[in-house]
Amino acid sequence: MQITRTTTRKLHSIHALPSGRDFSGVIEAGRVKYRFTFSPDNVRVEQSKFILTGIVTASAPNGRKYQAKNVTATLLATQGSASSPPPFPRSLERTVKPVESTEQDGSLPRTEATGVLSSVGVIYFKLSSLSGKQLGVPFDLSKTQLNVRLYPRSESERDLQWLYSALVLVTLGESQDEKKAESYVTEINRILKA
Amino acid sequence: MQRKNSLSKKIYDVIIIGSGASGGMAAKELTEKGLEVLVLEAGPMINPIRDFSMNKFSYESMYRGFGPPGWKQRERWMQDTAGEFSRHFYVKDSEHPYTTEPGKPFLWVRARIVGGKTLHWGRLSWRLSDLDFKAATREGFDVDWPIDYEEIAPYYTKAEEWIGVSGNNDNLWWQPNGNYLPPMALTCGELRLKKGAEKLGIKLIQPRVAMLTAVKPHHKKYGRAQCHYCGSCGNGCSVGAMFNSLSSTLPAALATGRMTLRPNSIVRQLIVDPNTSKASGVAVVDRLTHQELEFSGKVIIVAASTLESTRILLNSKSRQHPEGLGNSSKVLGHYLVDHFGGTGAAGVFPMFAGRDVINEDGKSSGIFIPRFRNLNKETKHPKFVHGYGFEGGSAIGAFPGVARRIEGFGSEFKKQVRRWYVTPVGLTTRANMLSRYENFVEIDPDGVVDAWGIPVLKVHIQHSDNEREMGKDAADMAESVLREAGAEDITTFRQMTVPGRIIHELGTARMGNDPKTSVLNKYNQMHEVKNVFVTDGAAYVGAANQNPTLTILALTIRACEYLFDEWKRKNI
Repeated sequence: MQITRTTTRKLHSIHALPSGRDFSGVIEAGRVKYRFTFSPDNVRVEQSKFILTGIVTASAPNGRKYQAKNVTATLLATQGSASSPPPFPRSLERTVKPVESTEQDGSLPRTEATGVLSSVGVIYFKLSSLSGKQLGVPFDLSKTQLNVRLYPRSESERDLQWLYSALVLVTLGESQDEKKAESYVTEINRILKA
Repeated sequence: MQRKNSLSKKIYDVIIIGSGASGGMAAKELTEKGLEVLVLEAGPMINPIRDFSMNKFSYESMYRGFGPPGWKQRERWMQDTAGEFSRHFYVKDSEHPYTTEPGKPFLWVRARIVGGKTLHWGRLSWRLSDLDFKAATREGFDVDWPIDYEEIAPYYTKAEEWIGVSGNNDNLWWQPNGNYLPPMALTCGELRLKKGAEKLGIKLIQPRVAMLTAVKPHHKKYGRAQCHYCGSCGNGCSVGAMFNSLSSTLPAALATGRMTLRPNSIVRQLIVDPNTSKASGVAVVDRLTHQELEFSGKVIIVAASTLESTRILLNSKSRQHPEGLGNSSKVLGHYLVDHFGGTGAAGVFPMFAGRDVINEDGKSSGIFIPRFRNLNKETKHPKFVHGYGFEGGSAIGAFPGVARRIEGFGSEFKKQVRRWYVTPVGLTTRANMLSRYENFVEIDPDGVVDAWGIPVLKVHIQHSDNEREMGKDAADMAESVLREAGAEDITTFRQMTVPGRIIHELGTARMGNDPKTSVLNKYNQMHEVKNVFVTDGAAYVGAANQNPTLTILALTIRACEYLFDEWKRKNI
């Protein structure tokens, strides 16, 4: 048996859940837990992938907070949800349209959670390089992935899940549609800036 | 910055990756033949006294067995069958990502723990037949397996003998007889269902399940006892009645003194000797310490479960194997299938309302309707090839699920629950999904990694019209069987399960005779790397419609026998 030791431990990923417009998670260093929050204030689409820009806040157990501004989270890939999709947001009825079905034969059974029944369950982002020292976290955060589990617990979080899901479908899925993508980006930005 | 520190140069005869059905069986077979084996398991060790909850009743928890609200959605959202008392058997999705195409999800249930998915598997143990092994010849789609039934039958017999399968010999050529312990009796409702099926010319048989209805000396030797029908198999069987590697194959391997089991060992890749192009060992990340380790072995058996095995091989890139280990054919990762269910029907038998409950009502085995489409010219279906069967039953288990559908509260509610407790009946499809090249996994091209920095899989899979036509027919037939049986309040289900939900993901490193179109030879040995074997569900060629574990066990025993013969001849 051979052992290869790493001097500075790299943090490969942070798991986060929606918290209003933000994404929150915990970074564990042994028994010490740091609260991690990414607060996006803007979304844009580049080469079919959306990029969020915002502030990262790390909160130490003693309550002290450290921040990094202008952090970008670039979409890498997604994991489809195996549950029912969130309902079309009533608040968006006048401004956006749902993704259209590409399915052909309506007489045959559908597969659950697929096509128009689908939604995004997890979004995997690549965070721009962060300094663990600046954030008071004892890890190398230079190449960290942000895994956002879209588990909404409020209406606004559900609306954002719907928008993020729809944006993924029209930018990377089979129903690509630039106009719809623009309308979803506009709505996400409106919510993020509200 | 990294530095290497060599602690030991021990070279194992065989390194086995995975401790589930296949890994456990390989460990038993090879240690009993005298080889020194290292078993690497990605998850933690299990302590049955602490971790099994067979005797825990739902009402002992304030969450009634469902767990605190949202726990599953927050940490184990894809671990469909995990419950409050069994969640530690499953991976945390928050640490084990994978990606999918937008609009085409895949549900991947995983058990990184000593014993793997055998701790909570469905236990149904069916042989395949030449209807399945020679499906291409019979029906003209894809290719045949490189083996036929006659070749594998003795290994089915060995596997059944060791694990203990209760069942009946029903003399159906396409659902071959086996080596069975006494079958579990059908309940009143199931006998009624059988009559309903017979009216339509369909066979309904007792299930063949890996649960002990009699105890043989080799079961007793490792403390396994007879099933007492508590119905809590998925929470960990404390008496070893249900086959799992923790109570059966791993203790047998351990008893030889030739097995080393190392939990918390996440395999990053296989290491290739640049001089020989053969595998020389395994690179591992310790799950807890994140230390990078290397283990050396003369032969490697990859049995980490269908997709984990393929992930390891795809991640094992080297100068000699730039597309992943043994993948110059570029077939590795392709032909992914999962059985589908979802379509079916459920109802109640009102004539049984209020009958006394008997112990057998708690059995968790149900019934099985073997495939009845496309067996011959007379049963040929005009709209799809291959076929499906039904699982189901009219038994109940420990928790009265019917209570969810009964309104009210207090003593009247309890009275109604008792009255209707024994009446539910249901059938759900277990159907073949065609093996198609375009359903595949690859290493995520966008660079997504897991919590240990290991590249993850991207899964590409969707059903075709063949599956959809089959699902339509299955829903209609399930409803008809229930009606003929006299069920009432019938609900027919017409939505197919998302790929992965049945937890029968198979293929992606298929066997075959031609190295240009397959990854493994007929003995589960890699065509291109002779000292690597893949013995789990990845080796499958076609899915058939029956539960796969017994076939995986039989193939593993056969592969180990071949491996040992080659070892003695010094061919490996």
